[in-house]
Amino acid sequence: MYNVAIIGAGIGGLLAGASLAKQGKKVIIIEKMPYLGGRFTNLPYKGFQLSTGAVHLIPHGNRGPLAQFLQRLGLSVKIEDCKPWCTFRIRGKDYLINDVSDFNPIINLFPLIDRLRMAKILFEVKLLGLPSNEITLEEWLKNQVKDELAVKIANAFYGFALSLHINSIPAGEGILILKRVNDCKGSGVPIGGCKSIIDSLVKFIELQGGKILTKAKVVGVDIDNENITKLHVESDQISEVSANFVISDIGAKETVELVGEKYFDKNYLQKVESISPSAGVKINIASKKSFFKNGILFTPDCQRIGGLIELTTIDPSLAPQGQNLIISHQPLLSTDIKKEIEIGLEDLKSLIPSFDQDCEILLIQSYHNGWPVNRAASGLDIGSVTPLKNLFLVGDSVKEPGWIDTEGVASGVEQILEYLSKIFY
Amino acid sequence: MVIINESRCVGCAHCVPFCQMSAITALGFAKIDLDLCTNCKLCLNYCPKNAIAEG
Repeated sequence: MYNVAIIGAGIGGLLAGASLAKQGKKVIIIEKMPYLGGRFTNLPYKGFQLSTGAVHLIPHGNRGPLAQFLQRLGLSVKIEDCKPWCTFRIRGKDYLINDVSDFNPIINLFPLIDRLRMAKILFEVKLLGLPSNEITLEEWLKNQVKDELAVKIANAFYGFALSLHINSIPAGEGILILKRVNDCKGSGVPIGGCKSIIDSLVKFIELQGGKILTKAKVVGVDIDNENITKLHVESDQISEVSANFVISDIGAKETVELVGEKYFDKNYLQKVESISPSAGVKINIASKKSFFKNGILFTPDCQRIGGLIELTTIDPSLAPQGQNLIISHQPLLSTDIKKEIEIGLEDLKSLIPSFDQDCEILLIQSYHNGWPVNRAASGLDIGSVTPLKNLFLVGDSVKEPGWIDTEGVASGVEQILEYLSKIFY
Repeated sequence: MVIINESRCVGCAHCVPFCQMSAITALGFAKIDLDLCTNCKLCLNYCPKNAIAEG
């Protein structure tokens, strides 16, 4: 009998497992894939460390919820800040943002009337709070700033960070995310890639006596009196697991499917049904030449690509010696994936005129339809508590509002563990 | 023979690096070059969407 059984060893499941194991709980983590980390680990290919999902970036560097979580566990994962944080390439010219609180190089590109309006917005947000989530960020922004450059810049930033067009981001959520970027002062790269974080979590969990199974699939559950009493597992090692609590890191919809719809009330099912994912395309490029030395490059003039980063300027170990690794990201704006990829490649060729001579496309990765960028697009996350008394969710369908991707996952895990600690004692 | 279920495949390309014969390419969807494929079925294990199956 375990205290906690965790289904899925993505970053959310592993963070929860590590924290609970540290508290002395008997923990088992059950992962269906042969590797751990889900969409947050390395994918080695041709000597490069590509990734299974997340670009090797921690959105808020050493100051965000993920890094803070790891620090509380006592794990020493090296996260190197992007310096400068980023560059915006606008009409062929690069504008460096050294300090996240100083966007003046970009603001100065706007006509005086818009600059005054921006100052007014800043004041209003500080004084009156965030805009409503009832309108989209696009509607809100277009009401405030007239120059269309604002929409382009916003789409580049949110396209890269959240894999969303601003017409599908609730205004309040979008501005809260921007505020957090400002508060946390920039992004960082985990040295060795996302896997370095996964490896240190796995090692920690096992040292604390936690058990982690791979190639083990939970295929069904037994339920008694609104409690999960048993997990049925297909694996070489065990066929069933009993635990006081079950934490699912496989997504809200997938969890409902696994447990069975009939155990959830109509309200909850509607809530789960309303979650829609964010989808995107990542293009991994190798080059002997270095093109982008100044942090994340946001690309407002591109048709699709929101931004890219030459990761080897921060961590050369992600590529073979003498090679550079560039990863671009774009939101998937239509269901014609081949066309979206073609447009992304056109964008890359406009950013790197010598693309055909100097660059090799290593891997093009698309994420949608059940294996998306985020299971819940920002602003659409639901809570971790479920109608079943001992079942809780972690992961990218239950992120904390206002945090980007992994930061939202870490923050969500933090919240639910606090809640669980009250039930445990 | 190994086949890709195109309605399940999302094009995440996880399978590509695991193919020792470099028989898989991904451009929106994974594609297996059956002339190169030795039918080792390693890729079946690495698909998070269960989109690769024995045909």
